[in-house]
Amino acid sequence: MDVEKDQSYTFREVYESVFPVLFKVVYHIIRDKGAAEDLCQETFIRYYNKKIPLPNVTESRYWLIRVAKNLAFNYRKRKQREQFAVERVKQDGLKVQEDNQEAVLKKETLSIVRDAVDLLPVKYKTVLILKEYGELNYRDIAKILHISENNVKIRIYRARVLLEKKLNIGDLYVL
Amino acid sequence: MCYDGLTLSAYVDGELDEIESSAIEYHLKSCTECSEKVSRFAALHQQLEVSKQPENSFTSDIVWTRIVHSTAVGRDLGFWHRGVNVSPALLFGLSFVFLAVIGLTFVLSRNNSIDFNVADNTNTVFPSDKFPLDIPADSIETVLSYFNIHDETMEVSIQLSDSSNFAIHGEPRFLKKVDYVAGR
Repeated sequence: MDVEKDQSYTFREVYESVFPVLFKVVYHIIRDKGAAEDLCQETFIRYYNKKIPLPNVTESRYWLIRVAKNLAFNYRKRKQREQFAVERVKQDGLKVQEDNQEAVLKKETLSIVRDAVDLLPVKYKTVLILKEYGELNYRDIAKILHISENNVKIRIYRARVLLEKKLNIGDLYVL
Repeated sequence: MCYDGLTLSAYVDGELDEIESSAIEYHLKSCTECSEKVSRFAALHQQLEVSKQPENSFTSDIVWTRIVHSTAVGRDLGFWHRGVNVSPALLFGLSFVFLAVIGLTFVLSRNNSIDFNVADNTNTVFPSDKFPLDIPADSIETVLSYFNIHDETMEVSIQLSDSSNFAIHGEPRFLKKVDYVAGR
């Protein structure tokens, strides 16, 4: 059955179709698996309790990703406020346990990439996560964020330029 | 002519049409500067690709189970997402029957309502077996004077009709009316 066109879709079909991308997007915004599961769950419950149903799976997908993205950014902001001091202490006291030099380099590189993405302004970070981790095209991102495709194109380009500057790719360990 | 970074970024994402993509590919063969830009975007994409969270197939099932437990998903809910499965047609039928019963009860109660025949002493006559006469009974004094009774006692019995001429509470109005007139 082509759920993209069918009007009489079920909640389960929407869940199966949208959950993977939703989880990826939420996870890469907050980088906490347990919290990402909770936020995905909350998003789907909100969708289930929605009084006016959406016309098809595609529209449901846009709605779910938009809500999940907002929930994730709100969660991240709240967590940052609450645990700022604790996080700093944890990061300072973090000891790398691995003996393997290559593994250490890989881990550091991953951490640098993730931190660099984290430091991007929200509007650039959002499009980059939707594009790179959510694997969505410009059209879908535009629908989710209620902006034009051209705007998406510009934001992604600027996000890449900023990220490139932060990462200084030549200095990173080649994975 | 070199392409700007914006177009090359869209090219890396595969967002350009075939004609434009072919033109860029042709250009990249001869332009080191543009090739370098594309390589940098590709390297960035690779870094982000590696930093992806490895997928766990159980995550989807875990979250689904939690959703099912915290909502009514999975249960047979046909009406307003509520726990009782009542079809709209059945609900309409039951409502109609309920209203019909209420309406019928109201109409019957109106038809059976007690219509009190209040004794009107100006029109009431006393039929008599002994005296086939209609005796005017506008007051008890008139009746007594009719029989030429002045200082004697007289026993009066009143037979009520068999029909329901009683009020639910208290005495029948017929008696009350006579008592009132007699006691004057």
